[in-house]
Amino acid sequence: MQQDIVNIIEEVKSGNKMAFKHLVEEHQQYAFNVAFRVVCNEEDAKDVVQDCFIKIWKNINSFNAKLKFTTWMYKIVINSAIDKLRSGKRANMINIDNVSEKLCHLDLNGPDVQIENQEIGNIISLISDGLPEKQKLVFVLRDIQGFDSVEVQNILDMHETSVKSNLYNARQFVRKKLSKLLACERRLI
Amino acid sequence: MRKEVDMNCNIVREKIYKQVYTDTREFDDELMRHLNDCPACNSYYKDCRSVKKITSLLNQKQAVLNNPKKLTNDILDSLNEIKPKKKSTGFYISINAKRFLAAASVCLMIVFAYEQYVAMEKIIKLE
Ligand SMILES: [Zn+2]
Repeated sequence: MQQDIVNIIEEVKSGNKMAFKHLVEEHQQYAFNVAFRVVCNEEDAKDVVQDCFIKIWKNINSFNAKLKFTTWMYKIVINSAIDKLRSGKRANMINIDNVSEKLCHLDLNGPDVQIENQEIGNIISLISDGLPEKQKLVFVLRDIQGFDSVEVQNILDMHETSVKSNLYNARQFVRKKLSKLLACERRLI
Repeated sequence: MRKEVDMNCNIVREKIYKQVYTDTREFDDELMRHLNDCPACNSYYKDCRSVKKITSLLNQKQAVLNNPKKLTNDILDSLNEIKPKKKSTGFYISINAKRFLAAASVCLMIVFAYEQYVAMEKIIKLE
């Protein structure tokens, strides 16, 4: 598998578009998932993924083979997502009352909670909006995406202690925010 | 007295944080008694667990990319006018340029040496 990706990247470096198509098909869902968790809506996440793969095509020769390809890709996804967030153009605004209502009535102990894409985005947006940028990225990658600490350090070029402290502060922020939102009921316990 | 209670609460909350986020066993009888007697720490514990449960749920739910073929095609379409940067191009150009300059300077030296030789010959003849 690792050898496959090395071969594909070598082909892409020589300008092979079919190899690049294969690379996109294999990785766009993963890139989309991470982008979506940062920008919190489908249209923006697709823009981020498109921007990301264009950058990969343009800069494939600067890819350092010592790094995992996905780590490099996620770095680019995160940078594009930050640009998107900073541009301030959000594809849709969320209705806080509706999302809070949804959160209050989520049965987290149920066998399989059904949530649509946009509901996932709205909940992430609701609990993480207002976080400083670094804290938000660490929180999203570590707690919501589920990457381990080393992967987060590599993607964000951050030291272990910095990841830990940003994560701690983010979790405290989210806890306080949720505490107010969920004051309506304690069903989540 | 108040300070002692705050200090105790801080220690309890550190343990709660570790218990919730690192899966280590931090709870003992003393801590459980504190949770029963201290509504603030009790709320803290419940809120931490709520955050953990919600993030765990979000973690399990993948955001599904609808119509992936269209996104792939959009990406490929946007490449038509872009070529990957050749990392080594600049290096080869500079090597070629160096070779050219070296050859040119050798030629110039030969020309100058020849002119010098001709000039010296003339001077000798004049003398
Ligand atoms: Zn307490």
